[in-house]
Amino acid sequence: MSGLETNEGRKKLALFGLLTPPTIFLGVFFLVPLGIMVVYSFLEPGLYGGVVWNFYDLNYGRILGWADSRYEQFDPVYLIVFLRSVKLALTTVILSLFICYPAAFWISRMSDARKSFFLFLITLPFFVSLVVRLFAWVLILRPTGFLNQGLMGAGIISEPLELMFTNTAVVIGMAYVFIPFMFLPLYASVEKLDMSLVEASADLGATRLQTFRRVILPMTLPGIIGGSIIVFIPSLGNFIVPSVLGGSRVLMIGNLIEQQFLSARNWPFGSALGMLVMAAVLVLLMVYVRIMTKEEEYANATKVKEG
Amino acid sequence: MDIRKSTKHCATSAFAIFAASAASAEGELNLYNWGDYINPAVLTAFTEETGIDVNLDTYGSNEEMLARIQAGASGYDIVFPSVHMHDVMHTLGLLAPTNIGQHPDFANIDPQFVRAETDPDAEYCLPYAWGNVGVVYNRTIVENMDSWADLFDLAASGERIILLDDSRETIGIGHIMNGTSVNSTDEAEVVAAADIIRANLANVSAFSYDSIPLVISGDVAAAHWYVGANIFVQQNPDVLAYYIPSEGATMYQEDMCVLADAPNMENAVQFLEFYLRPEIAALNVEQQMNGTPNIPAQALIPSEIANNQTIYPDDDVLGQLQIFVDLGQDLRLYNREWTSIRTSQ
Amino acid sequence: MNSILGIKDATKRYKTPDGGTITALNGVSLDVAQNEFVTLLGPSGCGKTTLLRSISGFEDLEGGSIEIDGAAVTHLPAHKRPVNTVFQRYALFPHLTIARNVAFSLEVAGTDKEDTKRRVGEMLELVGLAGYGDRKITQLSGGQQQRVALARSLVARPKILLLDEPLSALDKNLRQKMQQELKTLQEEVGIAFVFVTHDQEEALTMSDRIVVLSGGKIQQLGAPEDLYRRPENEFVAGFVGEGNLLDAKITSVDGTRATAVLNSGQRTGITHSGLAQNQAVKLLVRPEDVEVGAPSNADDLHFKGRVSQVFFVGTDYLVHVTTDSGAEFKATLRPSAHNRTSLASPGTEISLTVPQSALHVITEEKVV
Ligand SMILES: Nc1ncnc2c1ncn2[C@@H]1O[C@H](COP(=O)(O)OP(=O)(O)OP(=O)(O)O)[C@@H](O)[C@H]1O
Ligand SMILES: [Mg+2]
Repeated sequence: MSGLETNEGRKKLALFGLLTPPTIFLGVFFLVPLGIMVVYSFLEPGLYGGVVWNFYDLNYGRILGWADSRYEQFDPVYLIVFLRSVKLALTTVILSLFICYPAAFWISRMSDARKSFFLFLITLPFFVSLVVRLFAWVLILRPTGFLNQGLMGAGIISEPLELMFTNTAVVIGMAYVFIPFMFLPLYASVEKLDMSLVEASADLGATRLQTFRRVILPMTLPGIIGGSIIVFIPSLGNFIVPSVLGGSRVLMIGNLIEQQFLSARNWPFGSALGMLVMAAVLVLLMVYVRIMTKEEEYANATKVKEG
Repeated sequence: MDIRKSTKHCATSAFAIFAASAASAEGELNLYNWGDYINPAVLTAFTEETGIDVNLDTYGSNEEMLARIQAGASGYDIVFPSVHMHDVMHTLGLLAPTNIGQHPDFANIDPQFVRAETDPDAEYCLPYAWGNVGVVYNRTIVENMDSWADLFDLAASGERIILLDDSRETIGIGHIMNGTSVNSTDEAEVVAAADIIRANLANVSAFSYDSIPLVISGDVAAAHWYVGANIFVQQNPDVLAYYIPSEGATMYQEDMCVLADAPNMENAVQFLEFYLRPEIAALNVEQQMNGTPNIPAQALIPSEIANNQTIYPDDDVLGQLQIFVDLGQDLRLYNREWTSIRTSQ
Repeated sequence: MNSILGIKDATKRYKTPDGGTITALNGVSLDVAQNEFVTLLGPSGCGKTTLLRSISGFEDLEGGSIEIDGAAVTHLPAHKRPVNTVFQRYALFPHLTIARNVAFSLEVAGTDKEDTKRRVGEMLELVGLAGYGDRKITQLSGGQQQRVALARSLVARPKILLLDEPLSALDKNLRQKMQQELKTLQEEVGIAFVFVTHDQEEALTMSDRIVVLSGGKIQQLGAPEDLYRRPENEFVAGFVGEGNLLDAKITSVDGTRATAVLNSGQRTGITHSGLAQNQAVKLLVRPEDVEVGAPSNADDLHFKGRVSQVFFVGTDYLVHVTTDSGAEFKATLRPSAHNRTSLASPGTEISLTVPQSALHVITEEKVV
């Protein structure tokens, strides 16, 4: 009897069938490009873009410190830009968290019809081109823009605020763009939060703050971490927001990478810079997977066993 | 140079199909051009005359175009590289010979525009259009300006200015003010040119292509921009003005080239020949407001364009315009300085 | 009576989605003594949970007041009230171990670590979960989770423990075991328990006193025996225990002695004060008070009928009889040598007697 005819064999086949589409998806959209990036980052740049197939370690040397020639020089600026991008991405995460967390609680308590309406509203921006939306923010933030006009009209400020082309504008823009990514996982875990646990906590004498810290926060932590990671990753590599709202005066690692692939025509160096981002992303994804496993445990726990 | 005229940062990349009604029996022609860099009326005229359907796809920079062609984007017949990219593409064997230089109408083309070193007899490409890169400013904020020094003085006085988000154009300003070549590969000269930008950096609001609306609204007083700004000057004559700085400026030129793997080679050559006609080149200039190398065409374009000193400058000004050449490896000097400029705050 | 909980005139209304209002509590007054086990009993929607949540502080009363141990708490937030609750679905914290769950109230109160540890240990021992402290909630059975919930709400020594149908998620055997354990626990810790159930048997077994609620009003408040033997109105009579409610009219009154005629024609003497000639009343007969055979006393109530159904309920048979006048009547009969076979079969002719002393007169209908 061949393996496939046994029960065991059929199960294996079914499992294989189930696994295959995601595996192919992952392979095609994640592993293959990642592999290309890894290989390119160790090759010599072609004069007009592309690569020359010689092993070359100076791409990393420029970032990490051992390159020193007319064309390949170590410069701490790449790590500085990376760290600066991490800072901006973290600020973006915090800002969007502060907006989405209360909003998630607020919306989760609405009637079903209003809930769906607000969820629809949150995904609505996806229907408009990103660049158009970012230019709308330039119109809002510029000195003669709506925000400054409004604040000056209300007598809150007398001089327009310098917002356009600043770090603040970039953080506002990225938070704006990525709020749906923060909101959805947060909302999912807030929605799942069993309100009787909150009551139990108050009943046991916890103040609102203690209930928040000891029950609500840990119970929604998977959503917070999930949302934060999902916002952090694209913020870290973003180059459109800093170039539109930062007027390229705010330089993020994504801009450097874009510059390498386009005007600088140095694909290997761009790949090496990209690996810096990828390393950060991979670490975060591992954290994410662990947290998500934990969340499943909680979800199972809230279903009380009968009898 | 990244964008020639477009007010949009992102060139639309969908195939826009012109003259869809014409019979496609004659075949089609696929153009890959900068955003908003050809008068649609030219394409309509071509389709009406030949019955060939023209598809247009657009890009935002030479590098983007090259990267896509190198990555194997096929189906395009004609591209519009800048002169130095024309050389690069020739070197990479990406272009097809057309013998356009042998065509009787090629006599219409001013020979000084046959610039590509790799193509001295125009065996491959046809000089398409040219222009300069200067300064556009808001006249309600500053009355009169005519130099790069004026631009930086304006910035130092507390007004906002925007420079182009382009390493060579922006460092090029430093070269021009220092009297060095914009194609210099001397490290000290490049650093000195970059130092000029660094010294004024605190007063530069942004590096961006999307400055025109902000200059019109007065949020920004002046911006480093292309001659195409004249289109907006014409629409807002009381607010905007454009000038070529007195210290000199850069100029650009794009050539029309046929790709080596063009699927519609014959149609492509036919389009190049069509574009040799003075009335067609003039039709393009009418909407694009830039320079054409076609001498008889210059007599056909509206006088307010022909007489505009910022579009068709006198020979002495023209003599001060420098054109970029490809720097090969030495491009990295500029990238290094550019990264350093953009990371200093 | 040394009252630990005093509720006066508690009133609570809810808005319904269609714009109307529901009166969930309608002037409820109740005093609970220290050490007392009081049960709130009533059908679904009668306001049991609302009353409990008003005591714990999760619902704001519209009218009335609540005192705990002599202090007014009517407007005190839940976390400041010295009462704890065992929730129906336990509401244990899934992210904490069993020990941390039990320690919760001590930790938020800032009790020192040593003391907390000791008291948690004692508490786990008390509920029979010593050694389970490091486990996760998911690693416990339903009954064990129940005990953790009890331990968690008792560890800080609340003045009152509130329990909202804590046993309803358990199967019958476990429920009976837990009923006894709860009662023992209450005696051990010596605090007042206010226990909610809609299971009258559970209420009768466990309580010192029972509050029967319906429509947001107290129908009767009393010891289980009182409720069973002397229900004050028709609602309580019907809700607590099995029974036959017979419509009757008073035909003659002589002091506390009276004669009543049932709608089905039978005549019986009764003892009850304050009756009037021609008054319509109901007579409650508990099935276990019914005897087989003809009456020895001529004043006793006597029926003839035919057995329609027989249910074996353990030691006894519950027999449904259709009387000659067409009414349904329930009687619990103890099987004995002479009737085991003959009675336990439908269709048998039967003669039933209810002694006068077993008739309970009800003059009120239920209060809504
Ligand atoms: N939050 C609320 N909003 C509106 N109406 C409510 C609310 N809570 C309870 N009610 C209504 O108040 C009445 C009393 O409800 P309560 O929960 O106290 O009943 P219960 O006796 O506990 O019933 P059960 O045995 O089904 O738990 C019911 O009619 C109920 O529908
Ligand atoms: Mg209830």
